[in-house]
Amino acid sequence: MASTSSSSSTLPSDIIFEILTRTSLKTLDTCKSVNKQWHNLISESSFMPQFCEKSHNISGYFVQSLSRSKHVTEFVSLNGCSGKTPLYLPMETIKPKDKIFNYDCDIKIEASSKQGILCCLRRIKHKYRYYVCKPSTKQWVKLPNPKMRYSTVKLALIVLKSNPLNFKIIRLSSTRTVYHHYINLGLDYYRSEVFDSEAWEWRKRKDILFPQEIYVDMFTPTVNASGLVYFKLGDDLVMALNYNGEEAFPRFSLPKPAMEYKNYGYNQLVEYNGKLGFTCLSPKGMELWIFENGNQSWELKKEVEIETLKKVTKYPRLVGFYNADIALMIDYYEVIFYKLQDKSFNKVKLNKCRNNIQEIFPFRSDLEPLDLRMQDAKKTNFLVPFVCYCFLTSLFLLKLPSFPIVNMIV
Amino acid sequence: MAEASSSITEKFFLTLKSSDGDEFVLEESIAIQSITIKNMVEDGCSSSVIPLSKVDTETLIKVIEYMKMHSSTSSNEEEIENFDKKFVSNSINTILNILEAANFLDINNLLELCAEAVANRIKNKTPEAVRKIFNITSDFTPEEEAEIRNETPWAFEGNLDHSLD
Repeated sequence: MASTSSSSSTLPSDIIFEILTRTSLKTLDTCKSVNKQWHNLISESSFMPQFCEKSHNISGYFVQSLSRSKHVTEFVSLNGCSGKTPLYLPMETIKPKDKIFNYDCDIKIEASSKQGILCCLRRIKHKYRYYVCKPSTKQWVKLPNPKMRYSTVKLALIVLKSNPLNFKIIRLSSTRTVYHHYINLGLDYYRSEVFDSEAWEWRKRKDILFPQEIYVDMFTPTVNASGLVYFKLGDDLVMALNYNGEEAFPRFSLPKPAMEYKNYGYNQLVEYNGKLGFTCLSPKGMELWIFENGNQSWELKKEVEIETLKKVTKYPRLVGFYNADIALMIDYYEVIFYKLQDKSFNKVKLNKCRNNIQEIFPFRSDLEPLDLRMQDAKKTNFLVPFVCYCFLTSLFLLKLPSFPIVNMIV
Repeated sequence: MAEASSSITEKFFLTLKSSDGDEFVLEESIAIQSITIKNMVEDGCSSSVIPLSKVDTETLIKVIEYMKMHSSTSSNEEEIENFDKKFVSNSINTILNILEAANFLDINNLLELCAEAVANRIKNKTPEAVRKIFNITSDFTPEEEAEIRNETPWAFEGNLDHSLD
């Protein structure tokens, strides 16, 4: 026993690689915390394509653009990671009647997760409806609507458990009126609501107050990292919310030195190795800063040369890290995967999103059907006491009167 | 005469020696499923005993069993399938040893079979259980580990499996 276990401690890393490329997405995330060697193996640039191919997963980004006031979405990925099956958004549930009259409808991705589900907003004429869907298995479920008289500013989707599925959605919305009860304080506010799949309802949280001139940047994505959700604010601040939709710590500024750069405006919040990152154009090319939660400060992590890239696009924005070595860059019309090491890149040919790219949603998924609505499980839980109750009352109703009846007959 | 000599070469036998010193005689046509052994044979080292210093007797018996099953013309697909199913139901430690041997001997089918089996076995296990199975210790500081767990809460919730097999 001792000899067998000691031999397995020296397993070469290519064997570990072979094993890990055959696990599930969830196990992969668990295995990241085994040790540094395993963590690095999984972050290696050759890992994901092999993993996707061998264990039938997809990993990439949804690109969303706006064309004639309708949203167009498209999934982009590196070779071998986009899967062979088409991805579906909850559009097909439109009733035939609506199709005949050719009602104006639209579907928009609001938030994505790296666990296979998306949150979408569907509109038919003036009716809005929120959905949670699993595009790879063509599954979706309607959510109760939040307070729609407040207009949505930003949504974040967090998957807490996969089996049974438990997710939360944080929604920030703003009032459509300027007359609200914080106006006397000289403040503006966002309404914070959280949807918990276990309760299957939206719950209001404490309002988030702002000085009047500050707003949440609607066009930069939220970043889920290290157990918090980060929102970029106008005025170069970042707000961190916990999964209960409350502010985790005071708002903090973006990296100060980067603000001096001429093209600083081309910046973005990203997720990097599970942490909050910030990328911007710098005089040398591009910079990546990482926010350390421990000491609440930004650290310059990487300087990226983009000379080769400048030939194709003038103002690229780094919007995501596919892995430690491959970055996703966009400008208004282009989506580019850029290899940091050898500075090579490949442009993604977009078939549908030809217009101004609005948002990018990182997405990973397996192809296993998922029980999206745990409510059904809840119903069975509810049924047990209900059946007991019926049984007891029926006993009560049948048995008790039976005595007098029997007596009467006798 | 020429015919006779060719028939002798057809039924050529190799001797494999495990790390424990046990010797196994195996038909060459079966043994060359291993690319490592095939290369040795082509380089002309086959006349003597082939020492496999990295493979112990127990593992070598299993590997030979596998190679025999997968090379014989008499066994049909169903038999092979059943054999594979039974083969991967060995203890996870045995499979890891076989996996290492398959890597060393360069037997691709066996490597894939075992890697798949181990991957299935570690699904939904806790990191602690995975570490024990692979006999590795974490080199993360508690803070670093907590941070990684924070990144993906879903991977550490729900019905995780603590068992080691």
